[in-house]
Amino acid sequence: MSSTRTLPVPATEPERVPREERMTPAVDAPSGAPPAAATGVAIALVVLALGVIAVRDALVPLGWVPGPSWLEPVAGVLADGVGKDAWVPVVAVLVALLGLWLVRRALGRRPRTAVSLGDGTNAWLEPRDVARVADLAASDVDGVVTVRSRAARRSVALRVTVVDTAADGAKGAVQDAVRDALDGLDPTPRVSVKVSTLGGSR
Amino acid sequence: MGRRAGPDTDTLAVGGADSWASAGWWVWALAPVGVLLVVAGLSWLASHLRRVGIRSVSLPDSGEDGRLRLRLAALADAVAAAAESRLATESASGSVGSGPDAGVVEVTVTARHDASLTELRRDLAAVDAEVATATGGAVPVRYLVRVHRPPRNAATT
Repeated sequence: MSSTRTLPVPATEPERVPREERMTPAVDAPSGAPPAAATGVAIALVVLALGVIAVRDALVPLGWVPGPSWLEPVAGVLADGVGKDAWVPVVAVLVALLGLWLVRRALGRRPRTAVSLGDGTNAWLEPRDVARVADLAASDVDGVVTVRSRAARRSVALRVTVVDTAADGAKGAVQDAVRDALDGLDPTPRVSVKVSTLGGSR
Repeated sequence: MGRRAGPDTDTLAVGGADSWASAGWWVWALAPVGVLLVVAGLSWLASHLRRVGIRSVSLPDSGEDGRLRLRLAALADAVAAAAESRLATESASGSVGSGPDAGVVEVTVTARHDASLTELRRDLAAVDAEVATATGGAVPVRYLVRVHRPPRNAATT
C-alpha cells in the first residue's frame, strides 16, 4: 500500500484523502481450519472413549454394569508381553511415523482459502467465485457457446466450446478477456484455456 | 514394566498385569482415571467448539470523561447495508468474527452479475472509507465477495 496513492472512489465522493487514512485496519486473509484441528478432535474422541471404557470396567466388578471386563484381556496381553517377532519393529516404525505426522500437522499453518481482490482492499474471493468471474468473461467472447471453468488460488482453467467460424483466435480472445476480468487479483491467477468446436475437439 | 527371567528373557512384558483386574484396588484406581479421561476428552472437544468473540469495542475518542463503545453486530449490519447500496453489489450480509477472527467485522457481498472486479474494488473501497471515517479506524472489516453462478450454456454466439 503506497502512501501517495488515493482511493479509487467515484468522482461523487466529497473528498480524496490518502488511502491509508481512509482504510480500516488490515486483516488476515480468510483461512481454513488448522491442520491440527481434525487430529485434535480425533485424539479427544479417543481419550473420551478410553475414559468411558475405564469407567465401565470399574463398574463391572460392582455389578452395576453387566457383562465381562473389556480391559482384562488387554491386561492379559500385557502380561504375556511381546517377543522378538518381525512385526514389532514394523509397528515401532509405523508408530514413529505417525508421531512425526502428528507433529507436522500440529505445526502446520491454516491454509489460505481465498484470493485478494487486490489494491490493498480487505476483500477476498474464493476460487469458485474467481472461476465464475472467468466463466462470465469467457461467455462474453464472440463465438463462445459453452464455458466450463475451475479455479485454484493461483490458476484458472477453462474449457470453452466455440462455433466453427470463431475457432481461429478463440483461445487468445478468451485468455485476454479472462485476464482482463481478473486483473488486479492477488495472487494473479494463471489462465489456461482449452478450446473445442461444436463439431469436434481442436 | 520389566523383563522376565529364564526362557522369556527376550520378552517385553508388564509383569503381573493379568492379576490387576482381580485386585481389590483395581476398581478404585480405574474409576477416577476413567472419570478424568472423560472430563479431559469432553473439555478438549469443547475447546474445539467454543469460539470466543468480542461484542463491542471502545472507540478512539473514549477518555476519562466517558467511554464510547461500538456494538460490532450493529456495525456489521450497517456495513452490510452500506455495501448493499453500492452499484456493483446485489446483496450483502454482515457478522462478527470469533476465535482467531474475534473483533473483525465480516461482510459477505454478492456481486451484481454484470459488475466487474474493478467496480467492486472501487465500491468496497468507498464503503471501507466510510467505515474507517465513522469508527476512527478502530474496527477491522473483512469483505468476502461472492459471484453468482453463471447460467449454463448462456454464452453469446
